[in-house]
Amino acid sequence: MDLFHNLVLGLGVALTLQNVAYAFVGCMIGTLIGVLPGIGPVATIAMLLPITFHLPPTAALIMLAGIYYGAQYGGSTTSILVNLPGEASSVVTCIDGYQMAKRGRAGAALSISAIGSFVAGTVGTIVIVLFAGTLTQMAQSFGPAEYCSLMALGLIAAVVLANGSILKAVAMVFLGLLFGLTGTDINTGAERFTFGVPQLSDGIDFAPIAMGLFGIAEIVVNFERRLERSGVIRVGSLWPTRQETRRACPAIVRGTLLGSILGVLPGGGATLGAFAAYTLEKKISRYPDEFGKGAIEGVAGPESANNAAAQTSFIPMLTLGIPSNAVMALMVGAMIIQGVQPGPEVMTKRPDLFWGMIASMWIGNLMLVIINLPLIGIWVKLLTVPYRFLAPAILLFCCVGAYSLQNSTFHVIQIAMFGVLGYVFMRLGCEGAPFLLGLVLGPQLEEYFRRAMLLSRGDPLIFLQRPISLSLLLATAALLILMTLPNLRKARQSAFQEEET
Amino acid sequence: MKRLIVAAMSCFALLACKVADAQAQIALAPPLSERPLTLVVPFAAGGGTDILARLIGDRLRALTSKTVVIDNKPGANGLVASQFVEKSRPDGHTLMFGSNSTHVIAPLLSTDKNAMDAVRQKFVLISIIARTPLVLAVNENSKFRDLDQFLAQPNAELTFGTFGVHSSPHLMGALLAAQRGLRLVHVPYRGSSPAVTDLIGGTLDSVFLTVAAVSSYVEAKQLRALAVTGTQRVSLIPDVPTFQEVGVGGLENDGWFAVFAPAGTPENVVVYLRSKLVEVMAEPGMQAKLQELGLQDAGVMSGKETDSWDKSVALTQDILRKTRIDMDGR
Repeated sequence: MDLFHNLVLGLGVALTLQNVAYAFVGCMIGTLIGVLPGIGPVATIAMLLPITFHLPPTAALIMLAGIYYGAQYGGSTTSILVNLPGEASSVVTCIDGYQMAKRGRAGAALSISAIGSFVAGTVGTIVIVLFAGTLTQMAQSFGPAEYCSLMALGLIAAVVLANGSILKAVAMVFLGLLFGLTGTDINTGAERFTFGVPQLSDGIDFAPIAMGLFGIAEIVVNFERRLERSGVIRVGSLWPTRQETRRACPAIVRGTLLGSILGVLPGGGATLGAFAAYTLEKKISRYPDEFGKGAIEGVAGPESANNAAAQTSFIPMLTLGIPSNAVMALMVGAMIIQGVQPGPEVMTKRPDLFWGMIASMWIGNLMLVIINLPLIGIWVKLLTVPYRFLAPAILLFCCVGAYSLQNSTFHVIQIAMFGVLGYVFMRLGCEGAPFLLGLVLGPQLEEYFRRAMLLSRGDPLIFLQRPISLSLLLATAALLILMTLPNLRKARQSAFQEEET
Repeated sequence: MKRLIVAAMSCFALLACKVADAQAQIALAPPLSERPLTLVVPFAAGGGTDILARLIGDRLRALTSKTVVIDNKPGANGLVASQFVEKSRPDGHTLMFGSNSTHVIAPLLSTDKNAMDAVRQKFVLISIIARTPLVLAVNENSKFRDLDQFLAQPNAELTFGTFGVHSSPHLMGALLAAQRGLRLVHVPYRGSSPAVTDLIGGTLDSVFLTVAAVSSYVEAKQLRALAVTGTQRVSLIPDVPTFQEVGVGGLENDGWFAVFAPAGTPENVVVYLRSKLVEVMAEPGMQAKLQELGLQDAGVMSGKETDSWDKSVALTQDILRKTRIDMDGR
């Protein structure tokens, strides 16, 4: 029983007093920075990197990993309470989570997302143990053509995200794509729409836009309503009702599965997982009208998906040494500093480190759910803080978070500008989520498309010749057809009703 | 090992001279105020450049007993960091961790034709820290067993991936193609990892990357390294010959990392910092770290900072002319 032997080895390493303590420290820091809007795990791990020089490698990595998945737990808190996504992956949680909070169901939304995250974290860890090898091969078979088709699927799904008119959603996706064009052309090095501003030459950073578009704009709109919001939000029961639990459970399972698979793919797996889970829930729900107005599935699905993806995004890093996002890149850096050369050899050369880290992930998840559930009561009480105190605090944290991204005031100015844009969007009844997805996926779509064409010497058939790419494109087509289906169904229903009368 | 000892000894000898020199000028006390040193890194935290900068910062802290802050200012191929440092007070407290990429290639390829001269005027090179050899690698299952077989393909179009357009390996790959009349198609990636993934996945024919980016895959027999740039073999992959060894000239001059200060920094401060950096780099622990990171000690370049910079500019200009890489062409 190799697997059993490995798990025992891993648990033996992870359960030493020292490693449990570092996992706890990591989880606490992660929860904290997850709750603080804007200050993400990337900035935190970067700041803590020098401290890890002097720790044993396993303890250092366990702590850094704890910060990362701890932030995934905490990240949903501000999304739900104040409509402020701490990270890209919790943007979708804003849509229904904040609406639930407005209806007095903040406690339920928070506890469902904590439980969903725990289930997802547990399953994610099991997936790593059982399928790390298989999933690594899957990730390796993803070439530029496959990514390009996956991004196309994501963009079509973005339209489904919207609640209002399809036309507005399409317009927002395209606007997002246009903003995504900013930056240096990856193939030629030519600059596009940078207007000589060097800070724009690497494209527009996602985090300040999300904070401006959602958080700042929300504050502006609230001020316009003369602070009446503080009275509107009721605290309500902290626990989900039986009906809410019944609806959330299958969503958690679906979100976990989707997230586990998408998390393995380098490049925004957690974000894509959350968006995909939301789309899926909205499509198959029996209550599609409730989405955008506080549907519990809209919180449970994406929150489970992003946490599962956070776990499985360790797979390419651990088995190949290939970082799938900025946090993993930092982890790779931490390993190199510790003298552990990341790559396919880690599993065989340092089994204690490899399995110890995996075992600690499950222990960390258990700690997080224990830390987070009692905290929900405290977070929800935040809503009773008068808005005139809460709003400046949110603004302050947003500014600190934006500054910490690249130690530059440029991003602080950026959140202000996108705050104005977000306000305009809100007044026009346009939604931010499709805009953001266009902005995130657009540049990647272009990059992978051009790389695939470069590799195929300009032959577009490459997208149809590779089986994974072909199936993704077929799924995209199917989704497009599905999108028109509800209208068909409605038309049919009304026709039947007429017949009956 | 012998080479190392010689290098270390020459460094110490050099150091002794520098220290004597510095002491003659400033009488014992370091010419810096109580404020912390800021080392501005033009790339995001966690990358290879950042790791090296943090390791050096850590040792510099020990040697100068001053707080050393690592300030990551990524963006625009180092331009964001350069603009920050060149505008800061030239008192030796704000330094830039640059490279031949930020201080030679980027200004030469800038749309502003005077960019190179401007950079030469705005910065003073304190010390070259390390050299960065590059490696050409293929998939282990590739039909190319060695460099000769790879180069014997004058008519086939082969792809080579690098970590970005106008990067050092892009220039080297283009130079190789120009010299040998090969049809090498450059495929730029955002960073090394996705290029390695595509090479392992079989969609790319080859990669031209830093040694650190491929060495563990070479060890795991997933990739095969064909040759390294520079004049010496790299200790992480000691079996891989240099281009020079197998008869391919012109790729001896690889990249480097260096610490810069804004122009106008007092000479005694520059001398003091240079001596401390040489001391840091000569430490056996630091030499070992350099090897782990797939880098090589600055060796002959150390002590001839301005010459090395001039030479690097001239060589890069030559490569750009031969390969016709500019803003409009690939």
